[in-house]
Amino acid sequence: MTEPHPLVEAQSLIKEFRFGGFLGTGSRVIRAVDDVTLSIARGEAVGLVGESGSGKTTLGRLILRLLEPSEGTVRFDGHDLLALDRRSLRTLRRRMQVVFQDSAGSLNPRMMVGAAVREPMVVHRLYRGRAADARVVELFGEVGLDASHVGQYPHELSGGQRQRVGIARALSVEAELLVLDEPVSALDVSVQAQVLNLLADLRARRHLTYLFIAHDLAVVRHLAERVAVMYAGRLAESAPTATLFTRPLHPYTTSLLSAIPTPDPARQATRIVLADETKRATERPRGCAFHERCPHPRKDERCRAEAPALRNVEPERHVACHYSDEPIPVPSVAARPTGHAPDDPA
Amino acid sequence: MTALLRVRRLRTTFASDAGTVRAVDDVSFDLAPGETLAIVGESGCGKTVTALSILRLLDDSAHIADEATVEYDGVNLLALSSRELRRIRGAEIAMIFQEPTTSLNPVLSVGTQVTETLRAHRSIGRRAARQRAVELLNLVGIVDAEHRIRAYPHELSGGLQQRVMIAIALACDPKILIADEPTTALDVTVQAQILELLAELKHRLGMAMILISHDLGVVAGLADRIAVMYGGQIVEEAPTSLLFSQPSHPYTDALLQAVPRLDRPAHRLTAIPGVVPRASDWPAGCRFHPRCALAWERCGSELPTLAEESAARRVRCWLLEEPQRRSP
Repeated sequence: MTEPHPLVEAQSLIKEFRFGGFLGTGSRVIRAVDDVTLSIARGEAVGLVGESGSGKTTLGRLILRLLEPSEGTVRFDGHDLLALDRRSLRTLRRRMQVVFQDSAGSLNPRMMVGAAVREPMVVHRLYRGRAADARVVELFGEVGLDASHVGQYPHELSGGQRQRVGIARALSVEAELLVLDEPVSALDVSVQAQVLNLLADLRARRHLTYLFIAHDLAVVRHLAERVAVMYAGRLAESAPTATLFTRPLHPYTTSLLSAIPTPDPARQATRIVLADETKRATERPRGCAFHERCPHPRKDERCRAEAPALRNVEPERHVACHYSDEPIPVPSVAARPTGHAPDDPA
Repeated sequence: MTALLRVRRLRTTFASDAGTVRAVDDVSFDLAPGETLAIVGESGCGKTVTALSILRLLDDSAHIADEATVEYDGVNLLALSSRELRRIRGAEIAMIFQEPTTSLNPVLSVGTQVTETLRAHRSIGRRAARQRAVELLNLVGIVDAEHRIRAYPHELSGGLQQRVMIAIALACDPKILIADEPTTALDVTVQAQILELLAELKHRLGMAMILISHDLGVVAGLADRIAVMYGGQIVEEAPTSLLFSQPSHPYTDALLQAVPRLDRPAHRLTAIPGVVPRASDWPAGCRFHPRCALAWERCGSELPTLAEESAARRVRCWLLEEPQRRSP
């Protein structure tokens, strides 16, 4: 990238949620995002993966300033989002939009979907009147929806069609950055592929920048050029997509990859079965947050005592593991042994 | 092969404002002892209603057609009185669901919920039931079972809750376990644990299983045989390896192409055009024909029957009669 600065620069972001307690006593604190630094170049598609509670959605919201960080900064196209007044923030917000997983929940059930796509461009004074109407029809065409859907309500559309409406709405204000939060997780496989292809086409055509948040690594692989893996609020690893999938360095990434079931009975990889998560988010262990479940043979006192920093180990590659120089091998894809040894999985 | 469970002409309809919803429409299959049959399909295809119909777990809005039979051990479950059915449900045939959080009772301890099932079906003393509950929790891989037995569901992670559900289901040594999307609500690393557990239990206990899932990856490692459902009907049924290596029905083939997967290069996905049809409004003819790349006139007017393609496989497609249309 020869860009002077990345489109998005999140620096040392921390977000804490306090809950429970009474009048400030006895409350507990969850650090949902714990010192995350992530930058996204203009035109880049970054995948953000992790399991539930890993902080990926919170990080996405912090980047859009839908949530205020407890510490850290976010820059969008060089502007410090946290230093902006309301008006400048609003101008900038037009350029960054979000598409949620639950298209039924994020569209107003009493508003026709055409109006839902029209509204943001009127609010941001990009189009109005007939020009806005014509633009809605154009956008519908661009996301593969028939113009006849304009006058329908969200419940009259299928999940895939509603998700297309959500995408058209994000595009209506000429956004440059789309934060896609599990955009295909609620869709059936046959429709999921349609929406993934649409997202890939739109990015190529409009030179969009994506932050693609998902729990499904196979889905992310189809859209992202770079992938960041989160665990317990921190980045475990980030790398170019192809490298991450073929040569993961963090034992969590390796476990995650091995856990994904392959839709081919002849090629069942030996899964790395992790121990169950026993701790709550409020009582994360000292040291590396993953150490209790970690399958790395070199796991030791250091992992228990000292949280590994995210280090730049190769060009474009960061990893937070003390023993990333000896990564555990990715389990080979081989025939599943028929005589399965019934050992204690926990 | 003597079937343990024999489902014939199962039709389940629901009355709704939009008219009659034909959720399950002429489903027949056999399950052999010790066998794992997966029922695979997308939302609304009828896979869950099929499972619920077998155990008659549907509410009053559902109607199961009179000619349908579900024979277990020579007895038609659909003809039993509720009382007789209760002796089979939970004891001979047990079921686990997608959301362990909503299936477990939040105000009862894990131990109470496991022993409850035992005491309902067996004449067993309190102490012996507790002993057996600990054994069951150990069986499903819960360490420190003596201690965990006193825990309440909210104190357990999603993976542990699903293990408890499995322990409850196994309490009376069922011959058949019906698992409806048992790992869908779980994270992928936890899903891996549960899949390992189910594979191990199937091996160790020799019970038969009906695994219901939308995820072809999940069933690939666990099922002996797969029935693919679309539009309330089985469209293809074959042994797992055959189905994956040589899918016959155009829908099975398209579904396998549409899944993003890690074991192949990240090429552009082959999407299936159109939308998943609704149960209140199945298309005429073959229910897949509006989305099928190989469909011709006949597919739009005549519904194909589920016919034997070979001894191993049944397929509901007119291509069986006109195979030359497969190669353009």
